[in-house]
Amino acid sequence: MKTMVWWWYIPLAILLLAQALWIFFDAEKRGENRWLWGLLGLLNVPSSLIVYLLVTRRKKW
Amino acid sequence: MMDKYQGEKKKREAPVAKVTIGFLQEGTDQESGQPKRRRAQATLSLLAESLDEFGVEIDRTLAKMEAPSLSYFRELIQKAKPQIKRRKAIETLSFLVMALSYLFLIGYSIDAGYLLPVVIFFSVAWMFLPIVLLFSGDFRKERGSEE
Repeated sequence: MKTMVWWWYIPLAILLLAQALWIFFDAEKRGENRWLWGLLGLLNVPSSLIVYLLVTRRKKW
Repeated sequence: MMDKYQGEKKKREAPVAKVTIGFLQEGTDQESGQPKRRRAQATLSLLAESLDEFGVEIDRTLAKMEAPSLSYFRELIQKAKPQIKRRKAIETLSFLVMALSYLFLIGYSIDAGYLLPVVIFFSVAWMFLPIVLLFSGDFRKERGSEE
């Protein structure tokens, strides 16, 4: 069970890290609070990304 | 030259007369018996004259000053560019380090059997971080528009 958890954790961690980094860089470009958005990106995938996209792109809609 | 300043002075006087202060709008002053609004306006109009004089002085001083050339500002930007790049790189690196240590800590905690505290932490963070984000952004924008 322990090994199974670890096997699942590695791709999940990579995905979270990639998501958080993308949000961090994008928030920097858009003049948002990049640290807080980056932290939000580390929490879960992909709802953080959806929330980020909804909040930052809502002005364009 | 003086006419220009006189014109500017008149322009400045107009909005001052219309100034209303929320907490002084209603009621009367207990000492003088005058309406607070009228008293506040009288005080502000007294201040307006000296402020106008001060404004004219500043305008005169600024008119005498020479603006630096465009190359000076270009040089400033060129000097600041490497510093900004270095700061951004440091910030990105520190975010990466923080993210990796956070993920490692979460994984280690789950592995060590602290699943419930991790779940509680995630629920609290997921609940409050979006609220903090949304309100901090709005607050910053409101402050920016006020300033």
